[in-house]
Amino acid sequence: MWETLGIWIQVFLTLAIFSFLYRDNPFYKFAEHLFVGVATGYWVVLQVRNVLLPNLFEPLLRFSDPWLLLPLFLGLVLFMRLSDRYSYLSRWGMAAVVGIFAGLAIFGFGGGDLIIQIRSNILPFIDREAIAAFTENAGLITFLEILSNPIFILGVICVLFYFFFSKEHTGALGIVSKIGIYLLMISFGASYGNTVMARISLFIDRAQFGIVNWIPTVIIGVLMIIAFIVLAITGKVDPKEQF
Amino acid sequence: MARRSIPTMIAFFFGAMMVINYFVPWGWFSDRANQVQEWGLIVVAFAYILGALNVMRVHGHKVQRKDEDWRFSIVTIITMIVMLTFGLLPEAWGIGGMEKGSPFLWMFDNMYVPMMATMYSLLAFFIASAAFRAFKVRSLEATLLAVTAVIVMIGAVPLGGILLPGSMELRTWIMETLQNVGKRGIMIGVALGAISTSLKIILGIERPYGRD
Repeated sequence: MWETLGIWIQVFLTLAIFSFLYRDNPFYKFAEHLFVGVATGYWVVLQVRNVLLPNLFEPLLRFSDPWLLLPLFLGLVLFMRLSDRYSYLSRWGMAAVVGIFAGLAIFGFGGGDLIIQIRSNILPFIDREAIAAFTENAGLITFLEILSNPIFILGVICVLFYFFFSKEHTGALGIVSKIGIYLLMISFGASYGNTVMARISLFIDRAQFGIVNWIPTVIIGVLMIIAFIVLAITGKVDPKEQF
Repeated sequence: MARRSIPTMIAFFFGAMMVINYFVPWGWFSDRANQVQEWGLIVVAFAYILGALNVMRVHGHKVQRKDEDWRFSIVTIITMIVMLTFGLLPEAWGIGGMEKGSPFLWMFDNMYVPMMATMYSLLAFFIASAAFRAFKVRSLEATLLAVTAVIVMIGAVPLGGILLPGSMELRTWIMETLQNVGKRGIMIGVALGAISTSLKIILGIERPYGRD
């Protein structure tokens, strides 16, 4: 029974959100507000059950670590933000969080991104394996594989020069930075195409869900269309708000 | 004065502790530094609760003043309270907890998950409409963006491989090489920016936690 009810709710919420493609309407607003409520509740419960209870309240109740009173205090002062008079106290908690994560970020970004990316770009200019693969099986892709390493080595330098603003981009620097922006545009185009395909995959998934559960989809869909007609006739939905 | 200097000192103390821990990862100090990292997560958890209270306050005011769409704000408040109640009640009570079969997980599976997926899939339509504007080929840069995006999209579907032989392999090469060239440059820049900003925060030159 709960499973069936769950499917009907899922279908209703899916159609309610897709109804935004028609125009902003009460069904979409309902789903939007429901989402905010559910999401906020979900994340708070997750934080309380996974972080606060095991790492703060349970050790405090066992009196095992009195030092935990300090993060408790820093956490509680955050709520002073709701007070007009003492809101400055909330900065203490924020400063602790910002300080800790700034300290971690230095080596997180340094070791995790900067060093690794530079190291990954230290490549042989001529890749012998790629040449061997091309000799064995000559074609466009095997030819492009030969170009991969030179493109990486020179391309990253060109992209970095595009972000170098201490000198005017004229002459040789202008040409290098121009190549850099071309490579950036290709990179953005690839990311864009990939994102579009990922979103379309999600849409196909939702559409398949609607087709598999076609009875609730048809019933709720028809009821929604009737509701839209009634709302349009009674003037509850402004036709000028057309999406 | 103290209002400004105390947060700066707190940020410096905790930030410096994290930095020193990287260079001096020794027993006692390292244990304390790891404990402080955990404290950071605890304070962040409190920030989540503050955020929820703020959502409640904003929607509560909307209902109180009977602002536009105030009825929908009741939906937000009620669902949040229901979700919090079911989630925070002990498992032993039968209706609480986050275990399989609990009302909390039922609401998560049947409301949060499908709405999240639908919201993201809705973006496919907006991205498609944005594509018509972005793909107006006005310059070489725009042409490169458009051509690459089209190749990547065609190469991602089996039909593309039939219509344009080799497009799948070409897509793979573009994603592994050309996309990574731009990405790598950006990642190096972002890392340098993040490191310098973090140093500024620790040294009190930048104070994103608030000023007088």
